[in-house]
Amino acid sequence: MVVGAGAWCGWRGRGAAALLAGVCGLWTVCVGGCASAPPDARLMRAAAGGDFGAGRLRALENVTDARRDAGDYVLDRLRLGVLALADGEPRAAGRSLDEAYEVLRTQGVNEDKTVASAVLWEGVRTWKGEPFEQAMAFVYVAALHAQEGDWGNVRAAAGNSLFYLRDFGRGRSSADVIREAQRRGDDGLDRGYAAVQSDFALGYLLHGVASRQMGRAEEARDYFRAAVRAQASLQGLAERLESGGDNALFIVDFGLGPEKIATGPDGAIASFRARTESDRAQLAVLVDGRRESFPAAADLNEMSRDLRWNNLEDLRRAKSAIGDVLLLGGAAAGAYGASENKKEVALAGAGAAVAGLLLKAGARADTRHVEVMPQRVYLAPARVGPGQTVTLQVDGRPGSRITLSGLDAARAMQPGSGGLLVRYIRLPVDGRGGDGGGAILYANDATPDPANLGERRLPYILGGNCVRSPTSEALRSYQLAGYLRGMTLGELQELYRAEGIRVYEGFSGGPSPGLHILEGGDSLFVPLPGTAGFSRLFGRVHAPYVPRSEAVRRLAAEIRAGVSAPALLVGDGAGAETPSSALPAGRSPQ
Amino acid sequence: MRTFAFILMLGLLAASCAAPPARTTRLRASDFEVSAAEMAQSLAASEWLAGRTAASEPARVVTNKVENLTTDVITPAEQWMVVARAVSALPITELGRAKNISFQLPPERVADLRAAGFPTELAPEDRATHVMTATFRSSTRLARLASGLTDARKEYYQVEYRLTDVRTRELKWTGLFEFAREARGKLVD
Repeated sequence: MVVGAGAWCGWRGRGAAALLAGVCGLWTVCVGGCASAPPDARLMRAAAGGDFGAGRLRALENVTDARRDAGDYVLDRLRLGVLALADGEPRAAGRSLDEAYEVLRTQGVNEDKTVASAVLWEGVRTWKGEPFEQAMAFVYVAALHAQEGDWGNVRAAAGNSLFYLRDFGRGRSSADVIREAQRRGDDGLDRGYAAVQSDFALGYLLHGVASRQMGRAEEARDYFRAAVRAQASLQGLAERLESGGDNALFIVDFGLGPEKIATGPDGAIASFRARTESDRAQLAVLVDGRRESFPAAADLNEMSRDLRWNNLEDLRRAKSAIGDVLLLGGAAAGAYGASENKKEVALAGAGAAVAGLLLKAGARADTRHVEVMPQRVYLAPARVGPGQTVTLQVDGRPGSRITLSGLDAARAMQPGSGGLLVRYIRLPVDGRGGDGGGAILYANDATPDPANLGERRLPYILGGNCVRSPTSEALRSYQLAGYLRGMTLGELQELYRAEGIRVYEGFSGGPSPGLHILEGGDSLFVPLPGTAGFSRLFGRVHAPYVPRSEAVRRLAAEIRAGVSAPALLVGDGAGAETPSSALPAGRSPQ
Repeated sequence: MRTFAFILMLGLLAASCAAPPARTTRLRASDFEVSAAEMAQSLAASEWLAGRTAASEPARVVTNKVENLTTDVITPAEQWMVVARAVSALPITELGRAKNISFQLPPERVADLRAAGFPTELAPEDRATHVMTATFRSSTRLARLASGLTDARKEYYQVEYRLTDVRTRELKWTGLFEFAREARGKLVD
């Protein structure tokens, strides 16, 4: 363009070429500057690799704006909610999903931004997502409450995911729709469609489960039938869920959802392309040697390609067309004015060209999306006995394998859940660190006495494999094992304070924890038992703890050496202190 | 003329100060405050309380279950807050004194409410003679007012209380209280 401008310069004069070059330069800046931020590659790597702790913290960094009308308010919170759910961290998941839900249930969020988005860029609007993203957001709210056994709210959230869809006719493209709208003179696409019932089978199934758990059998039957009408392959699953013979239900996400990209003239058309390809692979569930398989209940690739599950981009194409007219006309007028030394014409032409450029830049599609949404969702009921583990894997995807542990503890936490334990599980696409086979290698507040613990009943920070909170019960267990005799609870807690470790108890309220000390962080907490986060933390061997304080370093070294520190010598009643022979010889956990 | 201008200004000021239309029909705990007086009236008129006086055998009513059957997510804390506000409201406590009735909540709920800052004087459950349940329901009406898309939503909420004698399992009283919330703005936006 600049070369062309230069050639033209020789012919019509410097002013005209300079003006044209300036307009073209401004166009480049506008188009580049108004583009949506690219998807967060770190978040996607974390989601795909099963590093949900790191992903959760990365997403938490982005949740900065407290204003509900901020552009990315809902987007940031959904990212965090999805990853926190995956990590088994209900505090962050609950808060972020509640806040996102509040805005999704608010009407007319962008009414004051209509002009700005039309003139400038779609991205000034508060993002609320495509309809399929909104439906999935309600699914995550339902999953959150299902894990708490709060069936009334599961029912409400699942019901919210089943909103009516706009059907402009099967087999029609967005281009077909906009041409017809333009013929009608309808810019807002307010006509020409039929409001149809949702075909979101996953929403119907979750509603059916909740209704059944609340004793509303007839209502449950209606919803299970609706799920089968939407997706016939779910017949067997629906019948199984309706029968109510299981005591566990897993809501399982897999893959990375479709990427939203800008295509077409001036990038005006938003479309989706798959990151994880769709296929018919079933979810294999292995419990106590019994293997079952279940089909996917939702495929986000398919939903993103369905016009009914999209906001329509035709308006952006129309804006782009308007922008082209202004740009060409304005640049031509500006050049003419400059060449004929008609300043007013030149300036007006340049102004029109700039306006045209801005409109073209504003016509670029808003490509913001929740990049950590899954490609597909499974529902897997199971009958899990005491002490049993559950292994999940997508057929043909060995990297997705996860064995869940702590399910007994999970059940003990939920009295009155109607007998059905629900867990949300995000399977990795390419799980690093392997599947621990369901073993619990570190004692924790939920499972303080796992069978695999061995003799190293000592705090992890002192070289053991216990990551319980420093409580009197924990200290008693260490002392019964022969360690830390004579130490008081205050002294034990002081060791954690010296290391800068923050202890989080329970699963609700208060700030969200950071990275767990087992993964090199400074937080001591327990993910929800029975989640991928729980298995990842307590089912794999982690690197030995590296003390930061002199006190812990010295004590750990003494324990390793099998020598008692003076503070830990057992008194013999005669006033003399002697080393205790009951202290086991030190042994590295590795 | 000056008077007219003054009146016009007052009108403009009033218009500008008018509350903007609500954007959500989500339930708030405070929405049910108006029902406490109605609840007391309904209880007082019930057959169960007809013969009771301050000297009657103590009745200890425990609300042991709240259920959300609305179309909206209402956290358990909010649900229990609605009940706690209702049974600790002045009309109810006065009625309780007059008829020797105490209203109680499960101990874990009392602890949760206090932790949430609710200044409840309700005692934790103790030898209940009656149990009460509270059920929240709603129905939704949608409309297109200013545009071709649905841009108005009205939610009709109900809370139903049911009080049952623990020994006889006899239903002693039911109360149904309603109110509506309306919001404007495109639902898709």
